[in-house]
Amino acid sequence: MTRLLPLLLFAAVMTLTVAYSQLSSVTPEELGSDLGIQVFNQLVKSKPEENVVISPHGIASLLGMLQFGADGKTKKQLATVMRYRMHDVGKILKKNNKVIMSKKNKNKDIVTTANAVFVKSGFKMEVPFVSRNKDVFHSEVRSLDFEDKTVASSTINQWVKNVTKGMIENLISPDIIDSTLTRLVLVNAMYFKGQWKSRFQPENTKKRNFNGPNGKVYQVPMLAQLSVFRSGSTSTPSGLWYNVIELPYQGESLSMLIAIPIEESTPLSAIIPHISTKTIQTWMTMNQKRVQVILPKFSAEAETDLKEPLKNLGITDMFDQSKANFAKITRAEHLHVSHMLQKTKIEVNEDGTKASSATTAILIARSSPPWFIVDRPFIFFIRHHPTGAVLFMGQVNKP
Amino acid sequence: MDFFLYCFTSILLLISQGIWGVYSQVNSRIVGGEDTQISLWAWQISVTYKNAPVCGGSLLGRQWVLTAAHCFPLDHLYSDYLIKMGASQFKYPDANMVMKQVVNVIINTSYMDIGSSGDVALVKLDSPVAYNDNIKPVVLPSSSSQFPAGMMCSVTGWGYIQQGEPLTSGTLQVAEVPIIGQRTCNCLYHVNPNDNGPHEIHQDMICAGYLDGRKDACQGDSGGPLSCQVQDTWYQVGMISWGDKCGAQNRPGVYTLTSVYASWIQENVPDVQIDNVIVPATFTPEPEDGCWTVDGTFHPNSGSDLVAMASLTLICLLAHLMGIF
Repeated sequence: MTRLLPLLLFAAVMTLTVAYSQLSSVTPEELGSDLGIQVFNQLVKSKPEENVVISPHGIASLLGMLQFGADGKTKKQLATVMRYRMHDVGKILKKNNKVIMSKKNKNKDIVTTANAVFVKSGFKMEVPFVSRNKDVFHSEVRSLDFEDKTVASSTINQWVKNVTKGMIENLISPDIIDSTLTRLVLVNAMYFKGQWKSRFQPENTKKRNFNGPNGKVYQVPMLAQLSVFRSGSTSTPSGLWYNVIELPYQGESLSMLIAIPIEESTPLSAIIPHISTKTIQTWMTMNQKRVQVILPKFSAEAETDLKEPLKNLGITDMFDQSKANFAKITRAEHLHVSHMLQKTKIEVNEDGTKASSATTAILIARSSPPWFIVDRPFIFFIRHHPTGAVLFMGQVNKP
Repeated sequence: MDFFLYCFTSILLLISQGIWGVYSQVNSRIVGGEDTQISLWAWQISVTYKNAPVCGGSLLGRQWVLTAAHCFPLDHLYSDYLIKMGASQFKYPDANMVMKQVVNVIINTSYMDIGSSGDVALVKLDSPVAYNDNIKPVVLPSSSSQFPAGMMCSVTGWGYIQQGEPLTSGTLQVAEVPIIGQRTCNCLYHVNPNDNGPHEIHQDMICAGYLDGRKDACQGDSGGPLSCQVQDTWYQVGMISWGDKCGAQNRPGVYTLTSVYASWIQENVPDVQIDNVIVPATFTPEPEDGCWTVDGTFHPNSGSDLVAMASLTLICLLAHLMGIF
């Protein structure tokens, strides 16, 4: 009587712009973000010259939700790759998810994460799966009729559009849904609108050359600002040097960190494998200095299929009809994951709260400052400092 | 009658400042400068750090350069610096260019940080330079020397031509700027101060520039000279130190007064030439109780002065009416 049923997973994520802090021990957010970074590594191998944007934290959240429903080897694979068992870290995750979403720390950076399980009308789920996801991930359960694929997909897309304040549209197409077989769709959506701590003056934005891969040159608007930023140079263990700068958001619990190879001949792919949450933590110990920053004003959007990268990392069983074990979602039917998608969007512009002008004495000096010019392919991270979570990351080859 | 006169002059001033503001929106380069030749400013030098130009400076003697203390942050090594001179530009090879290494830097002990007093440094070169048409030392005014507000002087350098915009041509720039006294300048910096409070213009500082900001020094010019000609001699009256955004309204460039440091320099630089210069003050005196801003309004020095001004205007008006009838 049991049938093989696909389970759909979607993570929709998005952002606007690009702050700081310190951690000693490893948090589950960092472990989760490290997994996300590994997924990113897998993705860029096949897309070295494209824009790739993902949410490591979003991937970890979705896999966390799934771990609550998995059992047997499926669960073991998830726990091994994620390096934590939800059973052990549930409480910490719950607390940290609250911190990430916190609006009280007089911090106007707004991070909204929303998780939902869309479930086929009449389908009975195990009570602990629902309650734990609600408790840890604030995940809501919505019942949905999958028979009309168009209505079902537009309902989900509308939910995503709402929680991402209109930034992510058309997350899923109707043909991803199987009107007879689809039982559940899991969605993680993330929205972040950051205001720079020190805003870029629009009158300083100018078209400049951005040197893309393969000698392509793009004329793009670039933001410019002379201010005090944490920045410096560091190298991979193999001795490839790259520059790093931290651009804090208002409230200072979030920052965008940008890394760019020093030598034009060093491809991004040579430094990306070296980066983990630990590396990012060391960047945060760099000194703050007066620097002239030139940064493309850009927007990057990417829809990513997470199935293959996760399989490569060892999460295989849950995608396999014959091996997947989601007995903790339901014992009545055999479920497996048919799709796991993530859509992420980032926009970087001038918006900030305060003009840096000459508020810091160091800025009024009339010696010329060193320049940090982002005019070549670069990678960026949006980090939540209190937890170490990497909310977003990406490589930009064409702004 | 005194009140009446005061009233009248202040109205006149208001009008002239207003016109002044309208005429002045051309910004091109230093900020609002033009190309010049090194032979005209043969004491101008360039300070580079790790091969990037960071500051200007001036030649005081065969082995000494005057520049800003903030051009030498504590974490920088002297060996990473070079002093270049003798050419109008350093972008392309120039046979006249002379390059020296730095063997010692003497930072004035009163210097704390940007914006503090004592932003002066003496740089000792690895070997003496030979003077020629392009390389000559400047003359410094003695501590008793005075240069009046309104006197036109010249600021030179290879710095930015606007906030955030480096000089691309590479040719030395010059801009003529009038001197603004320390008290007036301090008053101007208190008009719409920054969030962190106004920057103070200390006693060892002088300003130069325009209320509308049309001409100014900018990033990369620090340490360079503000040169003023008296009869046939050029004196370095100021040394570029800091300023709010380059070419900003009511924010003239701030310079370290070299005359204040004349004896300190003389102790360290044996061959420096220091002259006593008194320029007759034939220029319009600056108001003592405040300053005129670019929009033609008078900004009194403090709150109590504002009340005094208000009552003064009132009495003035009465006097005027009485005069008519």
